[in-house]
Amino acid sequence: MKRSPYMNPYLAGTLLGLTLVVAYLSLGAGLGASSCLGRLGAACSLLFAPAHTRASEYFGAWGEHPLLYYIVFMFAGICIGGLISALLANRLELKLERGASLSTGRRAIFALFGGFIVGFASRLANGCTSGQAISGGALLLNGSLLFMVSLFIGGFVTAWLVRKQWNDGNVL
Amino acid sequence: MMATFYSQGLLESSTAFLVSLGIGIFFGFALERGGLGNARRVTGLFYFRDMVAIKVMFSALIVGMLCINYAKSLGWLNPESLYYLPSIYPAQFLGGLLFGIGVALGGWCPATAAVGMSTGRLDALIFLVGSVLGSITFNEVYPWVAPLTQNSQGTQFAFDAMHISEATLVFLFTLLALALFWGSERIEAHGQKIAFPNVRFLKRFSLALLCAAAGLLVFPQKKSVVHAIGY
Repeated sequence: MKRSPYMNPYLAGTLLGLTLVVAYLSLGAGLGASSCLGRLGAACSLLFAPAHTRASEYFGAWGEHPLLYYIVFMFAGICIGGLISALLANRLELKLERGASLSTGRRAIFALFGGFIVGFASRLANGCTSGQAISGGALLLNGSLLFMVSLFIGGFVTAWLVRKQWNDGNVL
Repeated sequence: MMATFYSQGLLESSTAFLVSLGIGIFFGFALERGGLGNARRVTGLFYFRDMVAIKVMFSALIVGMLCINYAKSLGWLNPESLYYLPSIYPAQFLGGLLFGIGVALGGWCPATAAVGMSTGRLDALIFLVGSVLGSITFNEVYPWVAPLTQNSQGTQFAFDAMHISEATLVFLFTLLALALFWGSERIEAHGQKIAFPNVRFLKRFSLALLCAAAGLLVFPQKKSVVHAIGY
């Protein structure tokens, strides 16, 4: 079966924007994803070191059931929605995406290390691309716009330093 | 005027969880449809190669911003029923900087990685494992980084800081997004002429957003409500 082409990105963005509006009108809060990863971290921490986690200042404030949080459910929805879209477009594929110049092992290390920094940074900033940049940006909040600007600075500088990562002579 | 789950203190209720799950499904669907279930495409913008992330992100932001402002102006949405993220400048500046570094290295952000994972991308799964470990590390070192997160300025709006009305800034922000869209198309066309179907669509899309943004200027401007949430 042939893969369907991707949707016009502006229309996909419009759909995402309308989803954001529904979130604000119903929940009263915007979109989010990174809090779920923080809550998963708290749940793991509770599992392996319950007394230590309860006593800790940050995770401790989330109580005994950190996963009972609306962003955790939203994150589950993101996974389901992505799966539905990929199934309909026949884009489901088990693979490790990497540039030809990067070995599988090195790509895995990049992904793990990048993920680690993102997990830490989104707890520090209290949000990610969806929670801070898009949801906070749509309300024109100072801190969220600052987050967006510094995200692009960090991203462009780092990408230049690791520019060989995706360089397989395609375009670049 | 609708009451939100947040304004009723019901964000932690099972109904709000169910609504969040539904919102998440549309969220993930839109990301995958747009092509953001792929690390190469997520980070393409950093190499001026594939600008899909800019297009999806800023059209979502502008459409969301315009609709929220219409809902407020028409009295359908009480601005006080929303949760506003507090501005904590050191945390958001350093957090954003680190976040950008992590995205460029790892190839994902949390929501796109969720889509990547559920559609079979192993690098997205590894990225998410890293993110959970990063969150745990944040909790462990929290006593040292806490000073960065404690100087909250509460709810701060950029239009107040600039001493202009919200509708004016919405209009200016729309212009900025349109510049990003046309610039992105130009970059993808390698400075050549933008392909015809793209030009025709983008002209119509730009006109629609501009008219919507200009329409907001017609409504009388109320003084913004500065909330104390987050203090």
